Amino acid sequence: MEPDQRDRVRAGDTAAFEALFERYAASVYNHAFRLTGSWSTAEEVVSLTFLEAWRLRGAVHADGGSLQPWLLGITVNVARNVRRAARRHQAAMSRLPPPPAVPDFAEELAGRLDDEAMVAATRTAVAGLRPREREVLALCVWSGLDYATAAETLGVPVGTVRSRLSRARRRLQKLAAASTPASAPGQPKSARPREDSSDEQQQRSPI
Amino acid sequence: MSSSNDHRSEVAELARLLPPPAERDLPPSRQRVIGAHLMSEFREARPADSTRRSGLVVLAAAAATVLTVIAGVTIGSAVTSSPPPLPRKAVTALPGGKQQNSITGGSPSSRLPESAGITTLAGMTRIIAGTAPLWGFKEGTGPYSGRSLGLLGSLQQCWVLTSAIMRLGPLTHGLPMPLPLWFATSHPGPAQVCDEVWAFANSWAPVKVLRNPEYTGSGTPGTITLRTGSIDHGLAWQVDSAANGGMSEFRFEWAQGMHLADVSVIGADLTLAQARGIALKVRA
Repeated sequence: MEPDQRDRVRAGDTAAFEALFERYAASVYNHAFRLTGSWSTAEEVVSLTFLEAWRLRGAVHADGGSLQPWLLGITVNVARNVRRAARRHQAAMSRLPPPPAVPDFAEELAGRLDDEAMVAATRTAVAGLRPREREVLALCVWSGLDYATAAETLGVPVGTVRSRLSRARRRLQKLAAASTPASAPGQPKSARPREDSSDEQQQRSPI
Repeated sequence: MSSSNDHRSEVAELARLLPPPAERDLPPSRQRVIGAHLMSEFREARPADSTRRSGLVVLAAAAATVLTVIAGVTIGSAVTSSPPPLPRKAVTALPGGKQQNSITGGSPSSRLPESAGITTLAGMTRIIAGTAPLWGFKEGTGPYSGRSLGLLGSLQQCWVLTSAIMRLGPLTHGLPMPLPLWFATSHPGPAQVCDEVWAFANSWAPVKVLRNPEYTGSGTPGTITLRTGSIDHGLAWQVDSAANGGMSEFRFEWAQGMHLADVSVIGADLTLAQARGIALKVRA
């Protein structure tokens, strides 16, 4: 995105936001889906992400590259607590026409269920990770962001992204090694570890 | 170069350890609807921003009219026990009601009667009433769903200062949430209240939800657990959030029999005692 477009976003130019939505709605939608495991929730997160982006537009830096990291950072925050974000934008969300009650095509429904089953399997596989490790993993592995961009997205140092990914890899390797016929397929034996990493304190995104 | 290679090999290794992610486009028709809706919301917000910048001029010009209207309307809403009619869209198209469908696989929980929550707040008008989703980290993939918990029904209400409606318009015509700080600071104390109540078929479910930070959101950055002020041994937080536009927020969540209640109170110069006093008005 050109710097003058950043200025336009900061100034609340609706045409600039329209372009932003056209360009990034799909990546926000997919990232939200990977975090939440539900297409319907992901759709809700898309709306909430752009409403939050509008509200927080003044925080966009005048200099910089793509606004995708900024948007995905908002997506991560919204997905952490959708209920709270929905309540904040209740007025706007109440005016959003609801999706059709019946899907247009049975094929689409089947596709959605397949996708959701796939993500459910994935979430089972990553259930042994800390939430912050999952977020980094979704950004770097599934959304293809490099370390620096993921760090910008989450508002943490690059070293934190690197260490979270390393921990995630080690943990997944252990889980893969421990996944023997004696244990339930895809089910980690241990409960999710406690959130105790000191680097969590460096999170600076608004809730 | 080496760092870049390390990055690529680590990501490749992680990709190998995980199933491929699902990916799809937002259905084009839905993307158009959402996009058009958002742009409409943003365009409506622009005049409000401009109004705020020239607030003094507008305020002076409108003061006489506003005062006249407030005198006529707030007296009515303050003394009556039944709030004014709710905006139709707010009741029928709440995102919560819509999401509840996806949580319970097509059997949305019913809406509880208004008597389950806060029935009146002096100087405030209820602007939203509907069902409340019981969101976890995400429904369907979280530790348990509304169905497994025996969720019977829910109620969600939001209240704002009546004077805010008179000044900023009704919910359907420009009333922002949260209320702008410039307005709240001129009305110190509670400015906006949201209460939610869930009813279950048993008494263990509310306690179970209350103990799960994925449901309560207590682990969310910015939530500060308070040592005092909780209700019925539940949870009390002060929320330090940029989302509140500089206002203070206190939130209470507690279990009571087969009910779970969640109340958040937002305002400028708000005290814990003021917020708690409002939360105690929930009759769950």
